Amino acid sequence: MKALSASAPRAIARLAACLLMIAVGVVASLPLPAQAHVLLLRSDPADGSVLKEAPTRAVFEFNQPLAPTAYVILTGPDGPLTTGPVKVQAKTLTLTLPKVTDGRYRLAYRVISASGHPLTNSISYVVGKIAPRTMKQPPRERSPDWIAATGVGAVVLLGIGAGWFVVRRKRQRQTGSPQ
Amino acid sequence: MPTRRTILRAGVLAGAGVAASACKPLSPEKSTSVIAFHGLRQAGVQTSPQSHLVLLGIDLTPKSGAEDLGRLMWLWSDDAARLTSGQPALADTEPELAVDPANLTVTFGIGPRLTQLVSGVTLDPLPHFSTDKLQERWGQTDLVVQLCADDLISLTHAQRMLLKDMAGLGVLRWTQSGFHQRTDDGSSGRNLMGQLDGSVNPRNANEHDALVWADGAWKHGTFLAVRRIEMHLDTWDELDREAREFTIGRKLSNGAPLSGGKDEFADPDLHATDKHGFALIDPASHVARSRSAMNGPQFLRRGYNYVEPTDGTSGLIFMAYASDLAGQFVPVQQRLAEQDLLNQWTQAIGSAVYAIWPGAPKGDYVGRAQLGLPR
Ligand code: HEM
Repeated sequence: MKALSASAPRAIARLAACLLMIAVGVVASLPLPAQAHVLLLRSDPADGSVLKEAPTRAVFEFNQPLAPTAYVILTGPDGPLTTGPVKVQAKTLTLTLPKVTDGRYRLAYRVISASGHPLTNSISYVVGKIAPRTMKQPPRERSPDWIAATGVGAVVLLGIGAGWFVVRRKRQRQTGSPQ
Repeated sequence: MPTRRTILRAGVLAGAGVAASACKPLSPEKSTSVIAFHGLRQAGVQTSPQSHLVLLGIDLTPKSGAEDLGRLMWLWSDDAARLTSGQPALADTEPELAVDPANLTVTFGIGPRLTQLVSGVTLDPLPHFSTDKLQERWGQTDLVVQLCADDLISLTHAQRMLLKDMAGLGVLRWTQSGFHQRTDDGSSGRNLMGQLDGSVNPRNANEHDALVWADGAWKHGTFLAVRRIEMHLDTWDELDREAREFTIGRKLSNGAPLSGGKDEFADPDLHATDKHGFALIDPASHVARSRSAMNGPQFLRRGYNYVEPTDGTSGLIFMAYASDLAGQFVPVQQRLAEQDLLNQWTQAIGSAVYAIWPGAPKGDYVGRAQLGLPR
């Protein structure tokens, strides 16, 4: 009985250490933006910008040459708006924007890199002075960021757990009382 | 596996040599591996794809007419009927190889030039498509023979027997060999890009009859478009899963549409959107571009994968069977040539069309009635 109860914390500590290694492995293997992936480098208007006047055109610059297929959706306080045609040239996507009133706008884009990787995302900006929250925010979705955050959280928790067992075991050895 | 009895019998037949074919026919021991050759319609079209394909492109020798064509069809039909039922061909020197037909089907068709010999039937060559880079060596021929089986021995044997038959009557222009992944659970086989290929297809024989089978002078016949399409797998390999699925509009794991659904047979919804408002199945994806407004199959796709042994290139021997190629196949191919994300990794290098004869009843041969020849 005694031997068993003395080795139990050690087994748990080992298990915790094991789980820690697995968790580290999981986090390390999460998809990271690889070289092949297309990324938005900058946009005009910039994401989150507040503009005195409505922009007449939008420019998106990506890290890679784009395929000719690209789409945008402009949404304003009163719903979707029609933009000018989307022009793709090398790494840049350009379009003319309609005349709009003050408010919060979201410009969603989908591009495909010349090598075939799609990217869908959006920028939002504010025109004029507006009361906050004039546009419905899209529902937040579980993103890889969320998974990564959970992974890191799990590692931290496991680390704390393993540490606790090690400290506890040491203390038990010193005091000589296993329970 | 042939039973000992069939092997014994085959041995006896082999001993008899050429006389073998005159013997009483072998009763097929494995009835499930026999697909009837005779019937209203030729086998090998609506037949669930066997594992192996050999497609033969053949030209009739110059100056030959309807009678010569009839003679060739008679010889071919006779041997095809024997071989598909597990009997040796006439003058078969390797009768053992015919014992297990392994679902062998032999399907005959004629090209645009020979359809002129049949009244009431016209078959136009396909128009040029902007994405084509066609090679002469995979081009149109006068005749096509599609051989399919689940065993390469029986298939190769049948191929050789039929090629022997055409001595003096026809010249082999090309051979396209392919393979198909057979599955036990009714799911479509995968192509070399890893996709389940064949999900949307006319499966309901009654409902989809008119899509595949012609009417009028060619009643119970059909038309075939063969497209040899090379795949650029080296650059395809550089895409991650998301990009590959995006290109087609379906998941790689089970073929389910990106708009949702539990498997490859769920209906793609081209209007379903993501949180930004973009279509989940991209409008430029292969499924979106090839799909009809009617939300159903448009013709029968019976494709086989190929690997070219001489240079290691690979791709798809795309075969579409339709009652009207100009009305059903051409518009789809036109749309895909205009736009299809998949085009970046595929290249049509061969193209041909054929009128696939109606079937022949027992005691008759394929093509006789249509050519107006006496029995
Ligand atoms: C190498 C070339 C090709 C590949 C790898 C390919 C692959 C696929 C895949 C994976 C699907 C989705 C699953 C299915 O329904 O089978 C599909 C669907 C389809 N493909 Fe292709 N395909 C190729 C060429 C073509 C060509 C040349 C045509 C016609 C001109 C075509 C017409 C269709 C049609 C009509 C569908 C069904 C669309 C629907 O109704 O949802 N494909 N193809």
